[in-house]
Amino acid sequence: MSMWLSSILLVCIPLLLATAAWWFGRTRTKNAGKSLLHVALAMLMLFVGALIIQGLSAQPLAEPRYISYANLNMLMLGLVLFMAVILIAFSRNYMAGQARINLYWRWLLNTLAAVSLVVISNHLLMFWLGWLGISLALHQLLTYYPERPRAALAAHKKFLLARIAEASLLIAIVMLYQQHHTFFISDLVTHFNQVALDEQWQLSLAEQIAAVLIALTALIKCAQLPVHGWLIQVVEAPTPVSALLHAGVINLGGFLLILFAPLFMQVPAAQWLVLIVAGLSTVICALVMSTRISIKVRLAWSTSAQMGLMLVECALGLFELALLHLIAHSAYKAHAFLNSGNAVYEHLQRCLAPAKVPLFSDWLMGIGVAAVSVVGVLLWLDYQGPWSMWLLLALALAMLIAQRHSQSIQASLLPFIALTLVLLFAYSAIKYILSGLLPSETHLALTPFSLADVWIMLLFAALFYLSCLLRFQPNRPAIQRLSVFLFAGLYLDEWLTRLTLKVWPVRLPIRVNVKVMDLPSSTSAKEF
Amino acid sequence: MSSALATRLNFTINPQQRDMLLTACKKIAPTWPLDQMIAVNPFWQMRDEPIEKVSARLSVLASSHVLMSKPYYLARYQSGDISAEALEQAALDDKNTFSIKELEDFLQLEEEPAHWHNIADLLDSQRDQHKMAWRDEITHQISQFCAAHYQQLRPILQRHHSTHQPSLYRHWLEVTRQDRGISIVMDEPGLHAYFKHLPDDPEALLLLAIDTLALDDSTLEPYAHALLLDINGWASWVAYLAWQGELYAKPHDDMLEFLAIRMAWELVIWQYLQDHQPAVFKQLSAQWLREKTQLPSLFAIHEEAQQPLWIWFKAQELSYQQHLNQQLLHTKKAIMVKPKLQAAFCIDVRSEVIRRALESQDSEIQTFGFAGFFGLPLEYKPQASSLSRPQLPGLLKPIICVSEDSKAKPQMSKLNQLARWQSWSQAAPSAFSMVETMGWMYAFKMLKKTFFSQTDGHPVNDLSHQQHWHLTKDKNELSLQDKAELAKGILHAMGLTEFAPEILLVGHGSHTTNNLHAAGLDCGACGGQTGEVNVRVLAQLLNNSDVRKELEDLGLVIPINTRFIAALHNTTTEHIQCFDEHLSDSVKTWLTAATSAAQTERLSNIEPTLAPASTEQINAAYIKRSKDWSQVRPEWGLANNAAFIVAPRQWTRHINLQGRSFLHDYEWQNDHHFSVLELIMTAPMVVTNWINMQYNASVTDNLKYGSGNKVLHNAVGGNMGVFEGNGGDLRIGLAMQSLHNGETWMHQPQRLAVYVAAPREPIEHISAKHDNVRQLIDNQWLYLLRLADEGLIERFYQGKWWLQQELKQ
Repeated sequence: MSMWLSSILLVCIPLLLATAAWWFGRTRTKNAGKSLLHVALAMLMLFVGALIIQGLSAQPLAEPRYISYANLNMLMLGLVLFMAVILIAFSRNYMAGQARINLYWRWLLNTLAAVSLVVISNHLLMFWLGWLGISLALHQLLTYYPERPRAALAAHKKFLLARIAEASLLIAIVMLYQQHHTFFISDLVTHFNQVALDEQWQLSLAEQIAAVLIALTALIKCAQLPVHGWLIQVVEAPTPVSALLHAGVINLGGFLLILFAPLFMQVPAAQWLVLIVAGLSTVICALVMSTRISIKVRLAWSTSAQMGLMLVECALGLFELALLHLIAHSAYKAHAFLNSGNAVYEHLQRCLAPAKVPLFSDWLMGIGVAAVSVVGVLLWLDYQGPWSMWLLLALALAMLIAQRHSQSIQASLLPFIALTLVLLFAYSAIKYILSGLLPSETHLALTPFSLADVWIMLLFAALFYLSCLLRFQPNRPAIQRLSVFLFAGLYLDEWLTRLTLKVWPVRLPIRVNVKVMDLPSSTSAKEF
Repeated sequence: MSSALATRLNFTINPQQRDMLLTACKKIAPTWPLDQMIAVNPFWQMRDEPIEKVSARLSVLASSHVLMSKPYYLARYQSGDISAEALEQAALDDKNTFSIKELEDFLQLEEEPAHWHNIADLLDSQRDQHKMAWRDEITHQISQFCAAHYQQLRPILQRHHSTHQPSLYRHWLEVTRQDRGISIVMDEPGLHAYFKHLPDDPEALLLLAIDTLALDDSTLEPYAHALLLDINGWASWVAYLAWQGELYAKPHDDMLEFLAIRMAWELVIWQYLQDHQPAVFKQLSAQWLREKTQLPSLFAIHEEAQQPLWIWFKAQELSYQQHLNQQLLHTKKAIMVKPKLQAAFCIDVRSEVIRRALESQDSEIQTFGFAGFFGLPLEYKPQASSLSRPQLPGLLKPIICVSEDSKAKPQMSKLNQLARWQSWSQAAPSAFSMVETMGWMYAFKMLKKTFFSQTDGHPVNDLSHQQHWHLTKDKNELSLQDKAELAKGILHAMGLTEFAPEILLVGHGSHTTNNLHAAGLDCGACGGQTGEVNVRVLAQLLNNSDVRKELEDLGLVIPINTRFIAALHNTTTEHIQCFDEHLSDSVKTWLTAATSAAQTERLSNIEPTLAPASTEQINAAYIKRSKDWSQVRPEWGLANNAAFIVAPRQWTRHINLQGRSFLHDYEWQNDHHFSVLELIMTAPMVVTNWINMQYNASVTDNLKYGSGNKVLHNAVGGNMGVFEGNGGDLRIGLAMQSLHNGETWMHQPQRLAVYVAAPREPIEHISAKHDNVRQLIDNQWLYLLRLADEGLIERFYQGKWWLQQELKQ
């Protein structure tokens, strides 16, 4: 009984959002933002209500349900609703006075409705419909200013890629259904867990192909190379849309892999697809990011890199870490976009204490402190999993300590060591909490120094090495060439753009500021 | 091809051609970086030509607008904002004789004469609409490159912090030669190979282009100008570097090289088409020939076509001026015997509202208007850092360097930690770990900023809240005598002869959150900073007993009980904060009441729905607005500025100028050699013209001279400027949200009416002596009106006096 009640409450959330989308999309009304904030708060109450009811009735239900209550889903829904509240509150004043503001509200709310449908679905068709809804609604937001040619081009690319991702997800769903005659995700996951635990069971070829398709869907959704271009170019949409995209939509690829973890981890082909594509994306996008000159484009490249890391974490079986990354990155990136008007103050802050090039001794100190503290924590935790993520953390901490001085200020070591320890503690603590929330899937984790682990370690080392060279040795001819290459974004997007336009050309909008031309034959004509 | 090139390289560009190119290069006005954003008249470098000619020229070359559109004037006419009387007057003043009927009919016409086309424009007019437009891609490529070349953040593209930097053109060539992306994105295979054949020297390139494109002397200069206007944003940045170079005597003029880059693009597509698409090329060369032949006649055609619109433009200006003339002539002049409180404000139009509000508290409160940097040629150098920032108008070079007096050690380590954390959290290898360790914290930050917003400090201003200052000049401490001379000059220029017991020196600053253009709302006279440092330094100077003793020797006695109090007017919330604890109760009460009055007055433009609310609620709303990180219209800045009145305040005290007028106090009887008038007409008048024209141009052509939609803004290179969206040209000027409330324009474009209360002769003399002043007046970049003691207003134009209005006895 109480299950029914809380299910209804949860289902009300996307319904409420979609209704509000329809209502506020009709005409341009004043104070829509204020009423919408009430809608958002109502949704939060529904969510909390559902959680309470579900918490009170602790008995598990045997039969499959359309709505999933797993911690993962509830965490994701909480995240989406949090973003919804922030974005609606932010857009109230930010988007005030825009000509088509009602359409903005309509598609913002529709996107949120579709995302919330996806994260609570336990039924694959519902899940897929939500997935489709997201990209259709988002398309309207990305072309909110249809007169902008680059916006149109980026949205067009995204449109095609989204269709490919949806098709591959649909094929995967159909293949899984044919094997198991169920659309319920929880049933499938239970089955795959059994397969993993029981030596006698093997995955069928269809299941393996489905896993690869799911991995492919995740890679496209997360804007990994070489299909990252649209993500970078949709900076052509209003800031809150970027925040929504980078914080609430793009990470669904990670959610998908976490959801299908038991299947994904048993198919090496899928895993390696992610390890290679996402691994390289992580490194390349991070390096390209450091050559970008405008704040929003930097943030967009950084998202591609961060999503790459999240997928790599999935492929290494570190799902709690991937979830941590997903949530923390959402918060960070939404804030970074919404706060991008602060770029000038941040610039002044850097100018007040410009960085000093660290000495060799600084590096030694940094590496020493980072290595000792990270290894100490690992021993203390009796850690058994892959080491690559800890290597990344250790390298970052080494940088923090080595680069602590500014040109005029010689920083003392102690506060930075303290900061290092705080960061390490925060990292371990959150990781621990989240691993308690996710179903224990230790049988899926990889062993330390497995091939995958070593590959990722090599990538991280390369990232560290190259970014140091780019920063401190920019004069070397090889580094100069690399710099130009990175500045051009490796031409990957240019190729993809051409390919897109070959396969399915888009008519670009008429340009602004046309010049009038006197043609000899007729009187005068406007340019295209 | 390369052998032909080699022979050509032996020749250099001839001096005449060089001059013409340099003339074009001199036509672009500078734009300041975002953290020092001050208003600039975008047509400043063309002030030596009449505004009508400049307007026609820009219309021909860049289809850019100096005037509003016809429907705009029609609407203003129908609503009565343009009076029939003013229209008649404007039509009468014009050399053409248009009837009112003709003028009315003109607004219904929809034809526009043809424009000039660059080669890229010609190709775009026939380009397949499925392909990227040439002009957009060229702009994008040059823009991305310039940002990387000029940024100082980190090494990008061989650009690093060493002494040997490649020059602009060469650097561009090196990078572009390696860039294969251009051919791919334009779908023109082999295009990038053409960059390999370009000459390494910018002048050789220009020569080659002149030769290849057959540019004769009548087209070269306008064509070069048109190319620069095509990427006006970055050209303005290059102009800024040249401006600073000139100011600090470290020449840095890249404009010719910048032109060479844009010209190189024209040359490359010309050559590419010649080799690859003969049919298109044939058509192109025919069109190109026609463009060149037509060009000289186009200017006259556009000027003639715009003539009726100028009459409408003037009619609107006259509608405003006629009303103001009446007010100025008929108002009762106030008499001030012994002021209880004196307060000096910046000439800024926003000061007018708060001054009127403060004066209305008591008839013995006297206020002054003076340039907000208070005549102190300062640069502020925070103790804890190596950064320094000018605190004076962009026209001037700082002479005195000021720092806080205290050694701020703990602050230094905090500054270091903040900066290090920031770079660490954004660096490529460490950003991941920052997210995984501390990313969750930003959820709380967002909550706080959205629902419990707090005041966000300005990183540099936060250091400047200090009482004691240290003044140096060329690294030597300023002597007592220097200080006294400085103080005397400032007091004389301010016209301060009586001294009340408390004298407020009120600088101003805005308070907005998450605003890339925040500096644009601060004090332009202080170089886009708040006036805090200037007023604090001046108060310290004038309160110092040694300085006062020295002043007595110079014949200036400040009463012992007179105190100068530094204060700051927050233009966003209308609060006046005094940096002095000992403030008399009556002053506190007056200031609070003035704040409320000013807040209420401005409410109709800010939040009309709050009209029935209590003063506390209104005050709270203003404060909330200033802290709101999602607020894109925190205040209206100097929108709707229209006049500059240089006269004693007593003459305007009883007029409600609606925050549309700059006010400078001036009493010609005390100005013996008219040196103060000369200063006012050469400095503040120029600054107000810059502000006025920035607002006008941002409204009339937001695409070229404004920065577009704030919700798409994307900061470039930390502080250099903004892109609108992903890329495109660097955007200069004001954002739409600073000019338009979503329903209507908040600034009506009109030229500044400068009213000067002074005799004829000094005005004539100063205008004859200074080219800038004469050009502004005679080329109609502003109206110079004389407010005569005997009750008449006459206009000075082309060396003659034209009666505007007279007080009928």
